[in-house]
Amino acid sequence: MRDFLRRYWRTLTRPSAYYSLGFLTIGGFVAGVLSWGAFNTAMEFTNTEQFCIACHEMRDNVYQEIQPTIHFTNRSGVRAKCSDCHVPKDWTHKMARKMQASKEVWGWIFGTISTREKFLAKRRELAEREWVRMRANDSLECRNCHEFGSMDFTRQSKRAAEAHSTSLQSGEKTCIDCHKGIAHRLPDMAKQ
Amino acid sequence: MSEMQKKEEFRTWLFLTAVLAPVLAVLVVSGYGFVVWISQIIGGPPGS
Repeated sequence: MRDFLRRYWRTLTRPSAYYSLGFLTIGGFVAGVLSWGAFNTAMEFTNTEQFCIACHEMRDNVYQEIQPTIHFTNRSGVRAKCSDCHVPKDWTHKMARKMQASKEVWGWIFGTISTREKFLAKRRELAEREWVRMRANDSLECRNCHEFGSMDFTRQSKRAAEAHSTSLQSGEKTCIDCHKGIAHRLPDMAKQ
Repeated sequence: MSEMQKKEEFRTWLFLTAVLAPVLAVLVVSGYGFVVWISQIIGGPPGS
């Protein structure tokens, strides 16, 4: 084994005697392109709805709840999928979110929310985490589609126009402060 | 000897490009992701 490693270490650190610089450079470049492509494809796959609802925790709870809402079914057929709201688009924060998902894998292995009852008991905590996140980033995931500057207050209900033209405009409130429980049901808010 | 060396050079190249470099790239990116996550745990979510 030692001998094997030493032999290959020597090959590794010496200039190649049999392969041209051209082959090694281009070959390395092509392999780099392929692996980066594969990496991104895999990353994109983890952003699909199909991936999210592969686990029954998501399929039987939150996915069922979003279907009757306007973010899933509506007259124009534009809709949000899981990652549109729950995965940041910015690369750094996206990678951080993907690593946070290791905690979800942990939860999946140990069945943290493996039954409806467990999910209901835990959902307040899970929802609070998303609300804190969205309050901090000024509801960035909402604003990826909903643009304040393009809102026509005259086409909104009186109550909505009033809130949007005051608290939202001044930045005192952000989308999520009022629009909670719009894509999934609210947790039981009674208990602390 | 030379055939042997040629084989070894090719294997080394293949290991580097097909195994070591991709694994290192994934490790670096996920390590970076974890660092950002930890910084978010300490400093709060981005934007706050």
